Amino acid sequence: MIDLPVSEFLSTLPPHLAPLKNEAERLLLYPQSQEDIECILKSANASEAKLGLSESSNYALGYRPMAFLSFSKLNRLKRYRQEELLINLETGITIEQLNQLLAEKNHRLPHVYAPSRTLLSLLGEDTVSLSATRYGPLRQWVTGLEAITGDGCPIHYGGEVVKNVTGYDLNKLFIGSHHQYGLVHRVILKILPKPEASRTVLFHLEDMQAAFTLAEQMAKMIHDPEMLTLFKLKNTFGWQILVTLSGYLQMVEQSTEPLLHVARGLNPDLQELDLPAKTLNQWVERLDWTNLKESQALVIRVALPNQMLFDLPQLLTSFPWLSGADVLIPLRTGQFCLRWHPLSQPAYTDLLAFQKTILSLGGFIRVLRIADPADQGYFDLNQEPDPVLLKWQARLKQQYDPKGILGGGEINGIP
Amino acid sequence: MESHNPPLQSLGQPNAFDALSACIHCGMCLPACPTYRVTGSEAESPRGRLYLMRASVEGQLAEPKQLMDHLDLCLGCLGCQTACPSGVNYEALLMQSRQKLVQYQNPVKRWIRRLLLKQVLPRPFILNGFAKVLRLYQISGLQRLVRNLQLPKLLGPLGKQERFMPQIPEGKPISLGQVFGVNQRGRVALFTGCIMNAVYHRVHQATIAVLVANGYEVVIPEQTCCGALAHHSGERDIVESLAKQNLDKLLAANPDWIVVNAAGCGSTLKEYDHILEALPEGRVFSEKVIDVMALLAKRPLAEPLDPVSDRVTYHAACHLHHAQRVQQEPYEVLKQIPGLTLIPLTEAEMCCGSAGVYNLAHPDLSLAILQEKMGHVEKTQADIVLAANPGCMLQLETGIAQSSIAMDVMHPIEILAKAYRDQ
Amino acid sequence: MGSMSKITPTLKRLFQRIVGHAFVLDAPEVLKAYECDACVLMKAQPDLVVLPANTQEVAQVVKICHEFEIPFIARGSGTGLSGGTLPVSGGIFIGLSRMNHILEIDPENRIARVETGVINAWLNRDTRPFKLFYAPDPSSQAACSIGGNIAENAGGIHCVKYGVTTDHILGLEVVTPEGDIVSLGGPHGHYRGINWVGLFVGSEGTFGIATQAIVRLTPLPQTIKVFLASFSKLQHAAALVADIMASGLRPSALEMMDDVTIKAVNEAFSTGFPQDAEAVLLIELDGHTDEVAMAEQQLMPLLSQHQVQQLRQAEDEAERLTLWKARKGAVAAYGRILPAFYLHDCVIPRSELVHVLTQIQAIGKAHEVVIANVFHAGDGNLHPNILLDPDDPAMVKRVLAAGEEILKACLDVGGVLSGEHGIGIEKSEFMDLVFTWDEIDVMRRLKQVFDPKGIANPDKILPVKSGCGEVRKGLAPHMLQAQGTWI
Repeated sequence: MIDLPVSEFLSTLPPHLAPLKNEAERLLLYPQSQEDIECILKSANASEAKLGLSESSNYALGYRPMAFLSFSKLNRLKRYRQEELLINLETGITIEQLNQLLAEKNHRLPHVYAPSRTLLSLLGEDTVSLSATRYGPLRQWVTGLEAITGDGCPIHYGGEVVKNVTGYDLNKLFIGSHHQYGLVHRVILKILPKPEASRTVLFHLEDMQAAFTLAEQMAKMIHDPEMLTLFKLKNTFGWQILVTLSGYLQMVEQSTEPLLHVARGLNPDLQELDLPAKTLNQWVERLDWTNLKESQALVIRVALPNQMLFDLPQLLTSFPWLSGADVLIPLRTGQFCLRWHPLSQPAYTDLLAFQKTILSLGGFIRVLRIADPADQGYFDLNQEPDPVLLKWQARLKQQYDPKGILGGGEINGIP
Repeated sequence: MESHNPPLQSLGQPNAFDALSACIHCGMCLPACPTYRVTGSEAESPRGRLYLMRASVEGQLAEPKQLMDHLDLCLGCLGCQTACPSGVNYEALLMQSRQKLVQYQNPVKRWIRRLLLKQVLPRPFILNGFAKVLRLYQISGLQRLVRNLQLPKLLGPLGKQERFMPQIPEGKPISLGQVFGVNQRGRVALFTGCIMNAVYHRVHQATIAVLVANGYEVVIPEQTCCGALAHHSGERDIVESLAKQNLDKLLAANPDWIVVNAAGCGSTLKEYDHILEALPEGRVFSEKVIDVMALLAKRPLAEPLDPVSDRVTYHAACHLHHAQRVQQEPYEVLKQIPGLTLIPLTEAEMCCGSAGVYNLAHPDLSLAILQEKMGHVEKTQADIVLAANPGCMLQLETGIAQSSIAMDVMHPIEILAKAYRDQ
Repeated sequence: MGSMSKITPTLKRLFQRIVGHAFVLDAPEVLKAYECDACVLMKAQPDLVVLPANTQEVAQVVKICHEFEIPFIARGSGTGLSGGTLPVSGGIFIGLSRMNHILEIDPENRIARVETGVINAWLNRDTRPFKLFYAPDPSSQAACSIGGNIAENAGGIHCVKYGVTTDHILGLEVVTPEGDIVSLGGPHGHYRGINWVGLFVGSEGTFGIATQAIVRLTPLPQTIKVFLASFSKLQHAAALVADIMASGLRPSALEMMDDVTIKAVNEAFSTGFPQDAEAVLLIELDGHTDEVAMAEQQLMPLLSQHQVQQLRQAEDEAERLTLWKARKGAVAAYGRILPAFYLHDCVIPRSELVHVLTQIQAIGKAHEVVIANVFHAGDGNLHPNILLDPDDPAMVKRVLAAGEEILKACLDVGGVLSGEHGIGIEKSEFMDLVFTWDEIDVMRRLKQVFDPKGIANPDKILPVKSGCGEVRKGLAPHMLQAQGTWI
């Protein structure tokens, strides 16, 4: 049964935008152009029909969209400015598609993201990549974008230039705000030539202390690694350290040797040299915990001052219930993530105690994802944000999506 | 005297302030200006002052006071001139403005000041006599009594100035007319200055000892006040008359160099060529004037040098660093002393707030500027802070006395003299 | 506008009670000294200047402004180049010159916490002992404040590799236009959710006043090499820049100067740049020693493909510093040719440099004006300085016409109005050349989120829609009637 606003909304759409139903009985709309999105948003505003995104989430607990937009047809290359090292794309493109496109010209986006992700979803979350320490957040690689605000106004900001202060920085309004104020359909990204050499090594260690010791030594030893991540996953043997070195061939070779030497000293249970791209991609996919597929029951991010990260084993052992969690530590970021599977979710009070310790160490905890809206109590862990920020957030919603058709205005559980 | 007239323009010479157009208002001078740093006000910055000078020249200011108030607060440290990328001659513009503004000052105050500048400073016996009285005040315990009774507070503004009163050491000022050493490398005339000789005669003794050890013949000819204070107040006629006397007396001694150890005096003496524009000897004179550290930097120090184990830091006096541009020489000389630890001083070239009699005219501002300086000085944890100007030395002594640190103040030449102490 | 001061004696007393008598300034000559920043062709005096000592005082002052609807403008060192602090509708200045303390340097986490009146160069002076530096380095860094850098999202010579101000600000303490104190971001930087810090940086003081900042510090590179290459044609240099940037080399600086600049700089700083060259490039490589060596190997063949006349490497640190000092002082050195200049700040794609620079030369010839170029070539961030004598109205007219043509030439190849100086008041009337009025309205709505009463640095960035191009035409000549220079 289709209720009234939905049918009213659908009736105003042109024939080529007629929705399809997927297996979950969701109504899916496939816009193919900027005009299509504009048209959909304007119609939705007129009939107050709430919209969702199929490749991403406009985050709000209890938000029930009437129809979902898929950007899968908005995945075209608009302009490739090889000599500028800039690429102008529609945001429905996946990382896998983008990497393929760039590989043809011997270029790449240096951020390590799960291949299945679309740019749209990454931009909405401003997802931290596994190579963020070296290359910074994705937003620093966006030189321009085009979007439609929630109330249907098309805008552009920036362009095919690498530096710009012309007008308010609208990139920052749309990137990271979970599609609450508009939909970004075009983006111009900075890219890089492929490095002369790139080498990825994976170490497996059963013992936690050994894993941390090795990781700490590597962090000290390697000059500017592309990726250096320590993690533990359920159903996987012990702890793993994933290292990628890239740059000039000579530099990469120079850094790999001592690395392996140190590793031999700690006698890892296994080391895989020169991980093939396919295997690496599988790992990266599994480490993308904000991805709907990998998010499991509960994901939290813990920030700690850098110097304390290597005291983590002690911290983890002093809270025995933490041993059930998956751990992901992208080194040098001052942050790490913990994740629980539905059956091993921690008690809320345990988490509160853990948070107290973290706060006392000068860090903080943020809840990134909860699979089940019934568990929204966990969001209380996000400390009450400043009332001024809440006021601003409400005003932003009022200005750009007054009818609330792009989600309930919550971002990470914060209204 | 009509106060509503634009002060500068009314005096004709429309081109005298052409140099103003070199200022492009970029603001690079702001952080280099001590009064801007302390007040935070654009009008107390070099850029603001130049802007007001221009406004005045263009007749946009209602009263001379509107310019005068802000030029009065200028220390004349010339830190801005070192910072300026477009080469504005701030010093010349400031002097020109002050010369034109003096006529608008309170006539009584001005009369008293002129009396001081003309009749007191050029007469060493008055100053030296005053120093003796002051020493008596200090060693008799009277000063302690006055301070313990909190009398300075009762004195109001004068009480603040009491703090800047120099501690007068024992010993006697150098008398004029003496000759020391043998001429191996040259014959130099030592300029003794007013304050340096009255308060820090030990610096002259050190200067003579070091110069003699380095093969110079040192003569101390008859001379008078350099005229710096009159110059900075814009009293042109007084400076000219003093300059003329010094020129005659010092050149008569036929020196290769006229050596100065007081940065303030040195920078004024070097300007005699401008002050005495009409006299060709002005130039000859100015070219002979040299700071003692600059002279010693011209060749390696004479050996042997005894090790000196002090930990020192160096405060660059404005009139040496900015006005005379003697910047690296003191470091070059000090580095030759074996055993000496030279600790870098952050913002060494920022003014200490002394600036002639500035600390007496504007005690609050001067103290605030001194406080910033002392913050950096304290961090060095040196035993001795060096400064090549009596005004700075007095000011730093005040700063140390007010703080809890124990540190000596010396002229760099005194450290050198230590290295020659056995000779 | 601005003629009727809203500052009553009662209000003045309120301000005095907050910051102290000495720090409320309203003497006519003092207000005059405040009538312009480094962009002196446009002038307007504030009604009052308040110099608070800390965030709480700023908040109390702003609360009064909010209550009585008095426009307020934050002012740092007044080194802005787009009239960003011009009080066109009157109001008060809230000067941050006394809030100039570096509060904390944390080398372990590579961050520093500073009051925003801190001078950019001081931060670098104090972090150097820890082998760290604050990367954004505008040419005015000896004088400009971190707060001003935040307002303009300032760039600088080394931003081609290290990124601009917004990439280095992790957290802010802000006094909102409603007088609240709020912290945005934090020592861990921004991640996820609304990027308040990112929105605030570059908002030119129109969203409130940043009173403290947590900034990212970067390790000093192990090795730095600077090359000076000279060319007989400007176009050769421009083509090399495009090739270097396309090769993926990441020079830490890539600056270009043309013949007019070379002569002025040689005279001012005795740098000894080749006098007969039409352009020189300053190319800096930095990083790990081995990395620099390999980057140099990659650079050399590129140089040989582009008719380099002379190639010189800075021998030591002293020479390197002299070269950069000359580059940073270049703009002031123009004073030796003509007393003033009019400057644009467009950014264009680097592959268009040859084309646009040729056009700029032609525009200069056609309008009989002298144009001097000194700019961040690696970023494509042009700084054409059109030299002028403000007392020559005919020349001023030609300069303005040439300026507008240059601007349009840049926009034609996909350029933007400003790369680092901001829009301020000077470029706001050109905004409709880049944005539709709907887009400008989207920006205006953003302003309303932060400042519903429109009292925080009003009239800046966003143009007033008038429907007639005369606004633009009318504003500029009026500005130029005033005396002075424009850098």
